[in-house]
Amino acid sequence: MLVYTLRRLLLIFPTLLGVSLVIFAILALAPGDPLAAVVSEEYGNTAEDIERIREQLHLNDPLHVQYLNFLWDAMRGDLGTSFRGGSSVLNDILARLPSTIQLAIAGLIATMLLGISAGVLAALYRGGLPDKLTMVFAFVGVSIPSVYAALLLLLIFAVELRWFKVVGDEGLKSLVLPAAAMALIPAGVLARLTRASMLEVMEEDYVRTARAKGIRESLVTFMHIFRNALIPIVTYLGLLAGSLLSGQVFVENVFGRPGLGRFLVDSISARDYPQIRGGILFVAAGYVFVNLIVDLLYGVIDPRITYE
Amino acid sequence: MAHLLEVRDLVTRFYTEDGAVHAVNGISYTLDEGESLGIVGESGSGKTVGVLSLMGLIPDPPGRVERGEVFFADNDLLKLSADQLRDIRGREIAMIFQDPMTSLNPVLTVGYQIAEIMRPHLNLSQEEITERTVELMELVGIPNAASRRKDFPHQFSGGQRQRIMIAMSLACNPSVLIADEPTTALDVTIQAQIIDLVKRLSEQFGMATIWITHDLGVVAGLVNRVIVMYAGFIVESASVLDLYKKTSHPYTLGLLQSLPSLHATIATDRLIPIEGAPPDLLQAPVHCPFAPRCQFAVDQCWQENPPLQRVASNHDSACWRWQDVRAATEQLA
Repeated sequence: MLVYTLRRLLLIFPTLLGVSLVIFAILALAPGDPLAAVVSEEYGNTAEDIERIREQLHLNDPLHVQYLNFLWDAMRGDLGTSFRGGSSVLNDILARLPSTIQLAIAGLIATMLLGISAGVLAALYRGGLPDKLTMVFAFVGVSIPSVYAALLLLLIFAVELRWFKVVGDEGLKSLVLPAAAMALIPAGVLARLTRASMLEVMEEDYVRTARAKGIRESLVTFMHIFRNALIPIVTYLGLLAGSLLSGQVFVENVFGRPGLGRFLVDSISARDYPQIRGGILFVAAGYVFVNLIVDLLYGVIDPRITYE
Repeated sequence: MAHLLEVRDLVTRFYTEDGAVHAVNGISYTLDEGESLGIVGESGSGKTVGVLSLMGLIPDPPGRVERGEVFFADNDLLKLSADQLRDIRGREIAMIFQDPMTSLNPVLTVGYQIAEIMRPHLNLSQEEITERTVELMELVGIPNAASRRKDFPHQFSGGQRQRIMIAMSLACNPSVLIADEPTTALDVTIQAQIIDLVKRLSEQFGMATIWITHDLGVVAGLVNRVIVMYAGFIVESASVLDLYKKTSHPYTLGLLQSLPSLHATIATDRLIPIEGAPPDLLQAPVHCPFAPRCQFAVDQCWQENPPLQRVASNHDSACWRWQDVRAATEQLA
């Protein structure tokens, strides 16, 4: 298992190499001039100025030279400098990483709390009130865009009830509303997934064996049903964790959090190539890492899965 | 003498979208201390549902025990609360299931699964439970039990898994052991070993056993008494010898004739199958459920379902023409 983990960790390099190649190719193929947003004759820059800046930013080099330079710098931990402002891309990203990771973890926990508990209750009381409530919750949750949910939550809990500040940092407490807004859709999906998985396991012979032993029903539910229902749940949470690292632009915007999602969208609209490359590389690395954790978790959940 | 277990007029139905499935239609039988009883029937005859009903293991919904009494140690099991019944399950009445491949939880160690049954029922410390787990595994013939208890079910063969199921069921020294086709899913060579093991251990610990099987040949050497079930009814009940020699129900006769014999040659003695298909349990029974497949059937069989009646001492049959069946049996022999 240690060897497997190390091998998977080493795989991160070829993966990132592939990702960097794809980003480079896409950015090269994109029409228009990346500098147009920064310097332009319309802003009063002369043609010589523009040419000088192009030269400074190595935009006149052949593509493969640009790519190899980028790779060489990246390997030494330098993701380049932003076209705008000239700040270090790595520092920009690192500055936003803690907030992003905090929010992703909080969102993941909120999703698990809501989704798993609702799904388990629904399965245990199949056809009963908890089941119907969960299905309504899942349906409504999936139907509300997270940006709208964020605004609603802000309106209800911060503006009306004043439980939270609308703006300003309150430590961990300021994670509650954005995490809840992020969790709404995935928790709805997870609740249905958990319910279906639990119901499937409940039909298994070993659940009947467990009941025949005369052990408490809570043990049957947790040790025998829930543990076997975990695989699809973990798969989904893994996919979710990856997307939470990058895909929470709206929630970050509504709650004024400087996260990686917002960083990426800003840099894309400004055509700030070094920022785009750096941001996407980070997100890709995050995906690889989360996938590894999920694969290792499979082995913990199900002893039939082995790594050699 | 009071019986160890007495089932009276047990009725279990499953409510499905297509209607009520009449799985068990008023069966009554007794089990005495140390006795060994066989319940024989084809798939869907209600033999498994019957015992699951008395253990409170029928999934509800869709199943429901509609009627009946099950006396065990002066209690009607069907009237006990869930907690009281749970206390008896595993401790007093234990069960071995059909398919050892699917009856053990794949994600828990076998040691845990054996130990688990002792925790609520026996007042033992964690060390004592571990010790007894290893003892039980050795008792059923698992080598290196002390280290193997930490293995998972998929690391054992089918026969070994069934041995682990047996170890589990013996853990609390139950007074009744129910073996629900414990060898159906196993290799023929393993089947005999498992049957011997259960027989030996149940005799050693003085447990009464109920063997559920579709194979009359399996129970012949194992049990004192056999109950034959068809379509949720008990159609014949007798000692093994009487059942073979004085067969009094056409279904039993059909089962016996479809058994291969060591002495038969293929050329002369072909097996005789029971014609027709198993009954549709969605229909509420009005006539004899076996009538459509019965070579002895007369008009009366299509009008009235015959009750189980005494035909000799300790021999019951539910057939209007049991005397003709018996005569036919004796002629064949």
